Amino acid sequence: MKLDGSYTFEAPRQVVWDTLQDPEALKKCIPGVETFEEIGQDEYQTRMKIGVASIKGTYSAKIRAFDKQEPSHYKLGIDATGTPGFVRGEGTFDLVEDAPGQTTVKWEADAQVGGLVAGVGQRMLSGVAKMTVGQLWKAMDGQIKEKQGTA
Amino acid sequence: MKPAQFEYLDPKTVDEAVSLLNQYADDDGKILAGGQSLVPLMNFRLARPKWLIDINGIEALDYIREEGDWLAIGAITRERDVERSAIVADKCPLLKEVTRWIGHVTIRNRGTVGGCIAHNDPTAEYPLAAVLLDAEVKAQGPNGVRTIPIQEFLLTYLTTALEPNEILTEVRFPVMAKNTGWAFQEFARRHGDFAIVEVGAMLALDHGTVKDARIAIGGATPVAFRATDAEDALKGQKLTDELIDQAGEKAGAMTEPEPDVHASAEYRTHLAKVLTRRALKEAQTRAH
Repeated sequence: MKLDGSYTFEAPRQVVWDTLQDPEALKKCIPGVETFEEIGQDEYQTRMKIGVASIKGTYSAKIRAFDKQEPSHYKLGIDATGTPGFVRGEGTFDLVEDAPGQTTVKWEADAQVGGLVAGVGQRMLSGVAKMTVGQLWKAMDGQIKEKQGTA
Repeated sequence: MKPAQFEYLDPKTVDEAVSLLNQYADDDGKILAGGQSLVPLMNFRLARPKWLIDINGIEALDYIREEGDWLAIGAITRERDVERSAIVADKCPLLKEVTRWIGHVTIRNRGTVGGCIAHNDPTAEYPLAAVLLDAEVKAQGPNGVRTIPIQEFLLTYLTTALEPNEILTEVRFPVMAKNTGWAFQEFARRHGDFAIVEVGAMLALDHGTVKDARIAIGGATPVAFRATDAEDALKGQKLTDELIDQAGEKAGAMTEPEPDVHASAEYRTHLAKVLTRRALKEAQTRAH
């Protein structure tokens, strides 16, 4: 499953970068996050509840950030397993400063989804995945606004 | 394929059901209507409600009646009853037509109007019909009954504005004007499958000029939507084949489909254009 999208923040690129790399911000912003621990340099172990309506599954996931080129580029690897199936994939994130104080994050991901959720839920899989990523950006936006407000 | 363990509750009144739901909503409580989506999901164990509140025993929610300019349908009214209802055929023929496209007869024998709208599958026929007709939804919660316009009710994939402790009790469709032309077009690989794309259209004509036009598209966005750009292109114009083609293009441009194994995004957009054209042409023949 290939996905892509973008989100524009009203903030300088460095601020966006710092927030996206901040484990505390991630912990608050990942949709359905239940636990979030740093298990190594740029490596996290998390448990999250993802899905829509009553079709939610709990996944235990390892997330790893790599190929970092501050403040413009990084990649995330994810390996998640849960009762409804598994998700393995990689995402690339590019931060582009459109104008002073405005940054667009362009992302693309290639994920393998397997198990029940892929068989039964695949009709809505990419849509729901995009929506979930959208929720993450929105929450990040909130974090950034909060930061800037107090800065 | 057996569901995970759950507790079964069988209220006989809406008040009782609301009070049970209010009690168990935060503990994975879930309403069971016709069960044509929920039960397979439970059997696959993709849905694992802890408390299942079965509203099939609430006879007060099984009705189709005309209330002024509205056709009011109780939440547990079977789809098959809508399909065979003389009032529906007379007051809201589009609704009868779309019902034929829902799954198969055995599914429509159990599936309910309320369940279909509350489930809000992006390709389901009733949410599309509701969007096209500007329906309303009645919901009852611990704080009473509220009426919600359909555009505010359907939020995104399988998600509605129902609060966790609210039950959908009625769907209200406006009675259609007799001279309105209407049509429903759906494409699926086999009849009874989930639609790939579906389009509903309504046309009010005055000597060949479009007085009002409505187009709703399902399967090409998270929720069925009104193709307002296409509607605006039609309004006030002489209805010609060329204009219909233009409206089809505008409708296609408003889709934001996701690809899946059934169809690419491009194909869905293509279908939206073609089905919009066909629906408008068919609606044209019915308008007078």
